[in-house]
Amino acid sequence: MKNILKKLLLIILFFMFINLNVNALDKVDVYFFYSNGCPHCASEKEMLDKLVKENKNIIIHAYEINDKDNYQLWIKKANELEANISGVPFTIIGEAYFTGYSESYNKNAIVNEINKQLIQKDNNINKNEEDNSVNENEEDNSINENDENNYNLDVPIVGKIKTENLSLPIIAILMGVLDGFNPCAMWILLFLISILIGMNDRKKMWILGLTFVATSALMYSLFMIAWLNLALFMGSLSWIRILVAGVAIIGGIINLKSGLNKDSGCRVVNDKKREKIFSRVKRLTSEKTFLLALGGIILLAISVNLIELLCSAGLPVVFTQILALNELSSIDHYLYILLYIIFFMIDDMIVFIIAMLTLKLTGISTKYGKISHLIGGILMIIIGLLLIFNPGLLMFN
Amino acid sequence: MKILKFGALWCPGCLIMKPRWEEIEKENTWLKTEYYDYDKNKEVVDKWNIGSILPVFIFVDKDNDEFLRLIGEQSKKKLINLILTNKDR
Repeated sequence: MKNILKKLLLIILFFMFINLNVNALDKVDVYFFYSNGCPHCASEKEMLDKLVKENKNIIIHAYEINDKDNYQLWIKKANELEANISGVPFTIIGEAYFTGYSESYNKNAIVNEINKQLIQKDNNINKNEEDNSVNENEEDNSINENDENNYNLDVPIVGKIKTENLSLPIIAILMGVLDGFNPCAMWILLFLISILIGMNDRKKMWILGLTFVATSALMYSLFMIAWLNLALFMGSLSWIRILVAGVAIIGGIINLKSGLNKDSGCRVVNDKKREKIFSRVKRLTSEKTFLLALGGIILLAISVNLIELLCSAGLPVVFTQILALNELSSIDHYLYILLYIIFFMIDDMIVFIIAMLTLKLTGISTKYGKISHLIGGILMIIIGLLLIFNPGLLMFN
Repeated sequence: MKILKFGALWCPGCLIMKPRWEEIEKENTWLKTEYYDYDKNKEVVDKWNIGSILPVFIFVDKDNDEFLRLIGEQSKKKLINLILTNKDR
């Protein structure tokens, strides 16, 4: 068991650190100006749609030029490139542009240019990311009004909010809460609290308890970061997406089954393991040297949460896969994981704080666990099916 | 009739049942109950074949024979109904 723990920890550390400075393959933006009824435009659109299906790193920004604003944008972009506008379709890829389209005329040139851009961005990720983020911000500001997928909500005081920006936070919160009701590591926290309550030193109680909770949160975060980096590292390999979809569907069915089960009690964990952990907790909390006790609690939280990871592997894996599908910066990835973790830890924090303030252990009814299993199960099955059949619906930005 | 209650410190469902039982016992002072901790009272746990789900509530008659077993969280209403129905057993 110790060997398995060590290997698991090494794998998590490997994927956490090896990819901290490696970003996902950057996207290539293709600006496609067309006109309804133009047959060459229709042909090129078909070709571009096919390319996008094969490679999710290609983003097509399509503008119908009979719209006044789209026409103005076309003029502006062409002027920036000092290009003559003689007709549609007009395609811009980076600094290169193509007027017209046919398979024999310039299909290969367009495809080659896209591939060249993909490779260049892969080789110069950091530099291109800076340049592109500046360019994309400028272009996003100018084309926001025209982007047909933008919806804005007018919120009093706050101002305008893009609805696409709400979807990921809502999912993070929802999945974090649902995952939090999973009682996998709760039994250890409850036992620890029961021992802490018996201590005379309240300051020590708070510090040890909060350390356990914080370390648990950290371990979970590290696992999610490692899994996210793995998902990004693998890029758009469809088999990874299908594998995660499989995990989501199987996990969803297990959750549904658990939610529909009439039994509403706690499952007793393996006797030997439980006794070992309990005696360790008792030893640590009675440790005279505070720093040793603190260190021991941290190690306990790490080992316990590593073991319990498999118990709740479904939701965090599915959530990190959704993050990987969306075009986000590294900071955004970590912030969404943080949001997930905050809501994941809410039930633990409630139980801990109430216990520390009232010096009484309270539990959260297993009824809520069942409800969360039902909702979580349905959600995971839906997400699993979407990952297989229509992952685009999970790409919120 | 007597009720044997089996629970554990670390079991959220058992913690939820604790105040419920306190209310029931306060309202029915004639009721006899005994509590056994899953970790501390291993012999009793083994004797009554407590499985892997907690809490467990075993209703025993005057001869100490089990006639009803409830597993998991139970509502106060359901427990009171059962207690009053089997009061004279």
